Amino acid sequence: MSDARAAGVLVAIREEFAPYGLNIRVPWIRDWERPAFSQQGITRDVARRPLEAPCDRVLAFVGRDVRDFVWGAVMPEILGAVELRTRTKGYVVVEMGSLNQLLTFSSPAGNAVHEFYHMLGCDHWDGRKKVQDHIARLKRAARDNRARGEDFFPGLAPSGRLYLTRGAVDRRFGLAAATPAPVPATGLARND
Amino acid sequence: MVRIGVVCLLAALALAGCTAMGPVGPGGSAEDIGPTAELRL
Repeated sequence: MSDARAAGVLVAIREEFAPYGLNIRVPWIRDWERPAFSQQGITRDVARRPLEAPCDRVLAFVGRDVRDFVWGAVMPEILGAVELRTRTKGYVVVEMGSLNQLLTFSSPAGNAVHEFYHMLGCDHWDGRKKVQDHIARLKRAARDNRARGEDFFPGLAPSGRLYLTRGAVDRRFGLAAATPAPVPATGLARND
Repeated sequence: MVRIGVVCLLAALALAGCTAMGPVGPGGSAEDIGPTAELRL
C-alpha cells in the first residue's frame, strides 16, 4: 500500500474524532508483513504485538492481493477487526479491489474510522450518546492516568474493564513489557 | 466488520443507518465529551 493512501486514512480518522476532543497523533509507522489471509490470523498477529510507548493503540493497514479479489467476489468479506480483550489493537483493509466493497459503498477511510470507534470502546449499534459516554469515560481515565504520571490513553474492553497501563494490556496477552519503539522505518514514520 | 456482497446488498444498505456510529452533532457538547485529550495511534 502507498504512503499516500495511509496518510489519507489517517486524516479521515483524525477528522472524525476531532469533534470528540481527541487529538490523534501517529508517533511512527513501520512496514509490516501481512501474516495471514484470514481475519483471525491477522487479528491474532496484531494482538500479540506489545504496545510500545508512546503508542496507545496499534492499527495495522492491510493491502490486497489476488486471493482477496477472488474471495471478495463470491464470499462475505471482513474488512477490519479489533481484538476483543483490550480493544487497543486491530487492523483495517485500506485498499479497494473487491466487488463487495464497491457494492456496499465501503471505503478504506470509512472502515478505518469504524474500527477506530471500536478502539474507543464502542460497539455496533451504539448510538451517539453511548459513543460520547465511552469516549468521555476514556478521556477522564486518561486525565487521571496523567495525573498519576501514567502516560497512556486507556483501553476499554467489551466487558467494561479499563486497561490503564501498557503493561496491563501486554499482560492480558501474556506478553512481557515492551521496550520503546526503535528508529522509525518508513517514509511516513515521522512524528505527525 | 463483515461486508456481504451481492446477495445481502439490500440488507446491508438497510442496516447502514443503524450500524453507523456517528460523530458528535446536535445534542453533543463540550461538557459531554470533556476537554481535548491526546491519543497516539
